[in-house]
Amino acid sequence: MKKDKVNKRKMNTYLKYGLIMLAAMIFGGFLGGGMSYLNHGAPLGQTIQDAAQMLVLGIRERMFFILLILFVACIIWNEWALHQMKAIEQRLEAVEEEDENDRLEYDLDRIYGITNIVHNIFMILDILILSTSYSAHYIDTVEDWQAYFWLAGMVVFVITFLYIGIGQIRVIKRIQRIYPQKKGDPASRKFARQWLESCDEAEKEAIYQGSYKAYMCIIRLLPILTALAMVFQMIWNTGIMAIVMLAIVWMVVSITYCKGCMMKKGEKLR
Amino acid sequence: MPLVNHLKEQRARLGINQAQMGKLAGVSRQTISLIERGDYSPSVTLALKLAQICQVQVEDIFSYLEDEDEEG
Repeated sequence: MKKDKVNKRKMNTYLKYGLIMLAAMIFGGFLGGGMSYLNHGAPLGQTIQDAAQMLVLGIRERMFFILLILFVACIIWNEWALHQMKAIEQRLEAVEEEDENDRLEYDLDRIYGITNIVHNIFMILDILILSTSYSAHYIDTVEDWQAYFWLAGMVVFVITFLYIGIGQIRVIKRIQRIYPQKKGDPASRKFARQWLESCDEAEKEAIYQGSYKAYMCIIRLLPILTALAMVFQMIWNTGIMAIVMLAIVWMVVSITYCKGCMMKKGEKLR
Repeated sequence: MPLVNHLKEQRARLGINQAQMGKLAGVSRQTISLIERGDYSPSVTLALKLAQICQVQVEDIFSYLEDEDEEG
């Protein structure tokens, strides 16, 4: 009876897997066919290409100003976040009620977390903006004044990255002032390890849960992005670099995760 | 959650706050708060440490209540 149940479950799993693969094939077929149609047969395909080209050119021409606006926005966010953290620190020193303490510490964690996300968003946006003109061909072929603007944009880009780095150090130092048990030199390459070692078991569990969620998110996203990169390469000849990069990330993430799990089990057996 | 705890009562008996309890147990105040609220189940080591601080048996702080749904 039990065996029948297991067999039934096995068959259902295989059937489910087959149906998922079939759905993926149909979706892939429609995606490929649709893109091919857009590229060759329909005026819409040309319109999309022209719009993308216009967008890249538009960003390229205004790169310096966009990077400058992002830099100012980054300063405003960072200074506001640090101001908020300082205010919470002062309130934490005076608070006696435990529920209020919990709420304030949650607010602090939230600002710290959001600031981390914001820093990453600004860095990624800066890279995307810069990549529209990050080419020797572009620099060689543009007018002198455009090249100077590009150079000025590069300076803003570098300053933004420096500022974000300093901003992250200031935020971490503020956290370490509030929680002196938190260790680690933010400028050190070993910071993440030092920080983790100074966390207690509940904090470590939260970090591990967050890391596993991030791993699951990446491992689900990577096949989709790789498939898209392959379709774009087939239809629009976007090059194999994107596919190679994604494949490397996919491989590194999978190997690191499996190796980490195996080493942990191995340590326990020794 | 089938794990119930009386850490808050035991801590009140000792007359110490969450931060002091955390310091004695070598964890943060937040972790003590999470345990008291039932949002975090501590490791056996930490549970024993807390019992030692309160000078009681671990069962006096933590007890496991069988979930009726799990039996079926």
